[in-house]
Amino acid sequence: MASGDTLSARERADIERAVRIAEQLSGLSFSVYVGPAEAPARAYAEGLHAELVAPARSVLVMVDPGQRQLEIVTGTEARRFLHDTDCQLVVLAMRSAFADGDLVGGLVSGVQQLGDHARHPRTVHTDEP
Amino acid sequence: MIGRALPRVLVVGSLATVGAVGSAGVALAGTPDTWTKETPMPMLEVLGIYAGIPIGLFALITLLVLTPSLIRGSRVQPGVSWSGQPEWFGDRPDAEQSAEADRTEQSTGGPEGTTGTGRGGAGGQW
Repeated sequence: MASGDTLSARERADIERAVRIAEQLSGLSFSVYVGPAEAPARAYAEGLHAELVAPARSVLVMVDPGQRQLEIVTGTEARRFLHDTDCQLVVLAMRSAFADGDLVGGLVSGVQQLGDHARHPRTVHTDEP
Repeated sequence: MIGRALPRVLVVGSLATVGAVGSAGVALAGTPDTWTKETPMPMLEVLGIYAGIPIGLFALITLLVLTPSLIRGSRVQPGVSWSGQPEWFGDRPDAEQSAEADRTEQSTGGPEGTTGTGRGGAGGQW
């Protein structure tokens, strides 16, 4: 058993794959941050989200394993496809996985669920100006 | 019509009652004396069959369920302080574009949303 503060190469690959699949499914941009968060966690997560390349179309999942804190932040455009109630459901699922001690498994399935919820049909006419 | 049916019902009913009472008598009868008497099963054997086997099955099933996660062995335990570097997956913050992006976010943000920027989401602790 290692010191318990780093992810293995395989765990990183699993999370990266989940993020890629979620982006392909939803057309949104997904980011996952695992690390220490300053209090208050919600404000810190929104600050990280605002620093992303395209915040409006981005979904940020922030996990602080030390403080046992989890935040999902959706941008203005992403929020149209990924409603807050969907995020709450995913938070519930992720929390139960984390409580069972499965950090990576919870993250992977949480990101997959977010991508699945944000899936939307390509509209032909309404997106055009 | 009713006059012919009534005796028939009575006959059938009485036959059924006699049959039921007779079979109950058979069921209540004890073991015939001519049969050889079995010695009672030892308590240890009874416990082994009725408690040992279910407990053993529970243990086996629990082991089978837990084995995959034990083998996979997630090294990151929630609650352990994260002393390593923060990890990013997917898009990560871009220092040069962040200021411009933030302004875009502020301008496109509608009146909806709790923070005034139109952001949404959810959060919690575990």
